[in-house]
Amino acid sequence: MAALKAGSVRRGGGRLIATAATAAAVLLLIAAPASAHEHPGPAVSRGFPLLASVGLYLLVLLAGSLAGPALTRTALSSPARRRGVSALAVAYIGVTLAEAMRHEVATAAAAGVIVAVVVGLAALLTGEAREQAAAAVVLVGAQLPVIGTGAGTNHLLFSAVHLGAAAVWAGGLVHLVLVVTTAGRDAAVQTVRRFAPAAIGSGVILAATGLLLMVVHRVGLAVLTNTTYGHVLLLKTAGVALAVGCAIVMRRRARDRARTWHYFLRAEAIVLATVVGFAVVLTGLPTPARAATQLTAGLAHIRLGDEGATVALAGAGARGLLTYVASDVDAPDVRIINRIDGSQWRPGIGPVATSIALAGGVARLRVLWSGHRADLTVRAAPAPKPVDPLVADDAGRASYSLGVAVARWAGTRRGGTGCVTSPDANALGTAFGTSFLRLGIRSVDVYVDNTARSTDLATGVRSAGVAVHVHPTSIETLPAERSTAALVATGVVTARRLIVRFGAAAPGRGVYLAPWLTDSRVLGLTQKTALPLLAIGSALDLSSPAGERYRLALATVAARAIPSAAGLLGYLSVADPASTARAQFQLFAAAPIAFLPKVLASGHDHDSASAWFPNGSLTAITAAAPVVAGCINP
Amino acid sequence: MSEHVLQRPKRTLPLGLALLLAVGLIVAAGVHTTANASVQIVTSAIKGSDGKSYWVKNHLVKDSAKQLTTAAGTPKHHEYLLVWAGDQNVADTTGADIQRTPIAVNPIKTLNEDAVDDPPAADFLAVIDADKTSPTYGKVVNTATVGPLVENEPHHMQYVWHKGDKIFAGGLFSSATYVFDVSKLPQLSLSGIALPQDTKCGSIPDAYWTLPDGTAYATYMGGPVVPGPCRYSDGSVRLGNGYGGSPGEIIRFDGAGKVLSEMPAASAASESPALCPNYPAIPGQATCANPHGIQARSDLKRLVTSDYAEPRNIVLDPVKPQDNLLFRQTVRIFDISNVNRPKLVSVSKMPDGPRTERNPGHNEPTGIMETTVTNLPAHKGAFAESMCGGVIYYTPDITASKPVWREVFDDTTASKVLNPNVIEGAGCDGGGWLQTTADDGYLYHAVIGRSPGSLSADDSGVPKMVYVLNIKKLLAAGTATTCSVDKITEVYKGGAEADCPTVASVLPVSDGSTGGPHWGAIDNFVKASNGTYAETKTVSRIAFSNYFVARTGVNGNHQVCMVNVNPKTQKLSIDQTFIDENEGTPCVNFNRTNWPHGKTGNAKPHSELFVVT
Repeated sequence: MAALKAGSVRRGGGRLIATAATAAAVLLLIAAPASAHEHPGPAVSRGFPLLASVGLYLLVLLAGSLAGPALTRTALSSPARRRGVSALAVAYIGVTLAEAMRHEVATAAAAGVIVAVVVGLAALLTGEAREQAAAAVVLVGAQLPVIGTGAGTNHLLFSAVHLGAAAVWAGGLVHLVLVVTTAGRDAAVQTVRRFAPAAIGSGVILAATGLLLMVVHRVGLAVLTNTTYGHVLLLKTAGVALAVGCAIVMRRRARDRARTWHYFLRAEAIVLATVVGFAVVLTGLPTPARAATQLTAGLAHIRLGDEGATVALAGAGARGLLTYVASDVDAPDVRIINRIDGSQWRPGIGPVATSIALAGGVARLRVLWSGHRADLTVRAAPAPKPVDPLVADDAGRASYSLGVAVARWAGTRRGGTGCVTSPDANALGTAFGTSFLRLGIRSVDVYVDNTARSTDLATGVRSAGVAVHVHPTSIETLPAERSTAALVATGVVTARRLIVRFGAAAPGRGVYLAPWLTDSRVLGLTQKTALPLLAIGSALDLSSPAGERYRLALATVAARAIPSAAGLLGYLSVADPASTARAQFQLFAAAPIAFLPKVLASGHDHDSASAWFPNGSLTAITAAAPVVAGCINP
Repeated sequence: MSEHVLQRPKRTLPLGLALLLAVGLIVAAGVHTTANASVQIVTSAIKGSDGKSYWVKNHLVKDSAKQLTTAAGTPKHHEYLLVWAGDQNVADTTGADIQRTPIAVNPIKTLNEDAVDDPPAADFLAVIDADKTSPTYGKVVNTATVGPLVENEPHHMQYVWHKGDKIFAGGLFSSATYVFDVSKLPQLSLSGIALPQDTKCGSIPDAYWTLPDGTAYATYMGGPVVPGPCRYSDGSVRLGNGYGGSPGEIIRFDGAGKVLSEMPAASAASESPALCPNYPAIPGQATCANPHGIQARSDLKRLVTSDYAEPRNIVLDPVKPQDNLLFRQTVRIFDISNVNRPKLVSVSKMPDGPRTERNPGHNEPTGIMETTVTNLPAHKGAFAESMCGGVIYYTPDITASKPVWREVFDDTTASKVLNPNVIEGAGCDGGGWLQTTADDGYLYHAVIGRSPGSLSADDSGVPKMVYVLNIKKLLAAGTATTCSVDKITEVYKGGAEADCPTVASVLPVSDGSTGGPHWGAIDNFVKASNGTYAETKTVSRIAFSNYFVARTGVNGNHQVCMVNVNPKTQKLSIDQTFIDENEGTPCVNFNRTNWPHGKTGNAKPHSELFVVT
């Protein structure tokens, strides 16, 4: 195979390598210090993944260029081509290294990419077109671990094929341009003819996989018309259409040996380069909104435009309980319509339990916001039976269901007997009483509402030998004769009112909360009131690793959801039911420990979103007390 | 110029091999290991007082461990830097962080993000090679994770480690004290743990001071775990307002973490309710006793603690005039003639300084976080510093019945070295670590700094820095010291009296994070020609960590830096050879993806110690 003269391209080969190497070095320099700073500068902001985007561009060009001779069945043994491809390879290796250093890509995945590039370079040196094509396939294959299955196997499959098809088109075109430049227009006509099947095939595959990816990511009309991502995608689609037009005209004119056919080749190349540019921009934009999708039974997720607000839903059983949470306090005006019976409501802050109509165990909802619409179908999760005090009311059951759904979504399952163990209110009361006596508290005021769990708890405390004074919360003023400790066994709203009412007259030995009041709206009051102690009693280990897993998973899918003991129980019922059988009763102090005045903390967002309550800790302050418990899901 | 249709290749690249390689890489990249295969795991477990099992799990890097132990497996003579660090956990995240978390990500752009910070991860004691001549200098050779408690918020250990000592390490949010045996470094074991139910008269452990007999004193800054009366080991009773409130206490632990005594930090009589607000008020027993810093002079039979703040209530609103006093202004001295019964002998309010702050919370004596004693027999003095006041105090005699404390240095003088145009004082500059050298010649201090614009648009702020003062003249003056920063000109220029401390060196800490350098440790060892280590009074290097408490909003860049010290001039300079094994830049970065114990992501290094074998 004789070498072709490269002309100006040949002379530019050295400069290309130097430029690529310099660009790679600059990117490395930009990347290296980034992790040393908590807030990297705009050039390397995580908001736009510069390296990944540049890498994508280089990948398409490199893989395509390697495959070019095979795609066009036109060998080009030109040093200029070798230098050009080598430059792309060097630049791509540099970018990949930089990504690895910035922990933007797994080390093993980066190693895979680099090895694939080296394989490509070796193939390039052999001058064999098929070997180079094989190397291009390897290179695209090496992207699989980079893409990963985080967005599903369909995304992985379609993205890889889309990427490969793009490389075929772009690479073939680059090769055509090279042939025209080095071999002349007349000689290149033959190449155009040979490339036609690959070009048409890749175009069809690109269009098909593009559409499939839109389906996978639920990119509908709302996303296309209302988001930046959608706008760029439309531009990209228009660019593809234009490139296809150029390609058709170019091939016809080349076939007819028209003198101007190569102008359309250039136009196609320019338009296609712009299209790849749009693709690069797309990778830097927020994930294409899945307008509405069911993550798992009982849990769904809706993105509200570019704002990133979400709504999480958890259904539960025949009662059709629903809890929904908007992630963003400033979320746009959201309405939810039940398409089964036409009822509608607005999400509030925190868990809201509403009975909704289901059809065959499925909720069909329509979410409206700022003129947009998303339809959502959620299969209800199994409902807990209201035998446990934690799930005795609608809010508790909704939280429990949300915990179950979150655990399923997170995929954390350790198996076990399947029996979810939890003590009844009387047993909890007895454990409370035992703990009180250990702390030297022999008399306690118990504030109850008219629920069975409330009075059972008081009965249990008394059975442990503690003097109990029961006060209904219907009273408007606190009793004149009060014990030095108080146990609040009401619902959340009443508990908040009571605690605020305690104020400066708080019981000197502390205010203790029933387990079902593990709720930041109650625990958080300790930041606003000068209570001597606010402590929660719980048979679940609230400071356990499982508790942390639950809170993070919950915060991820439902950022405004309030973690609760009922939710943790639901989470454990899936993730580790056996652990509930080992639970023992403990008191946990709720303390908003801080160490700095506001002037030092000013300007910093330090409202922890996933603690049991903002900026606070729950710390076990008593040894574990045994508690009698039974299965709540026989 | 010619064109060639492809012919059958003469030499074929082993395509199958290449594809196999790609598949192999794909599989390898998809595998997420919980711990690196090249680490050796050794677990040490004990039973806590609650009957549960508590453990420390060593993750020894095999390659390093080979170099650090003999063929028989016994440790070689070596020096390490032990860093007590917390996993950056779910509760450290903000609402904004969570909202940025993608539920279904586009992996091409987010790539490896979901691989880090998988919750929950354990807190740990990192063992870093600190021998300059070692090929693994600066490398993390072991991470000893603790369990099962998570979110401990690792805080302080003792100030200095002496040969034979255990390590006492506290968890701020778990109110637990861990005791580690470090005699077999790089491997360590758990000797004991004290849980909140073991220390009923106090909460929120802060700092430790070890005694030659292997025991240690600890400050528990917060009040009794349950409000009301609490009976201490000597039978005395104090009223408290509960967990995280007041009064704190002094605990003495044995080498297995067993509580030998709980003693009150509060006096039996009420302190001034005006000076010592408590929320809620403690009837008849107002107290400022929230001890934070702690150091002792066994030869003088004195223990000194500094009161910082009533931690539970700082969040209320300390800017209000009455509430700024939740940041305490007092230093307590105890008689430790009976080591098991520290007896409070004096409570000294630090004097106000010459600055007149518009915000009373920035006055000099606000928030006395740390104290340090002098060391030589001829000296009886001690220093204290205010985190929010930004100054250093000194008393020449801690054995006096009424110690006289004077302000001897304002951080403004040090910040002037870095920024001559400083136009605001050191109010609330976040002063932390304070440590005298063993020869009593110098005093080290770490300052988080105050961001420019904190007080007003024209506030130039206070630089993040570590500085060293020459205190020779001050100590040489004995009890006749005259140094007193009491004139406004001395804030900027330093004390006018001849015996006042002078700035020896200031190391600026470049860091764009919300925090800054909070803690440090002096390297108190020197390597002999035979490879063994001996204690030295000459300081040739120190280490500092850049982290405070993330959940307060003041975080840090999570780096641990080694600083060279010129023994003659005390000039400080970053050790350029103590580099991060991943990034290659000076300082060990605790923000990393992989640890020997797995892919757990960022960690928060609060305190450190030099330890030798």
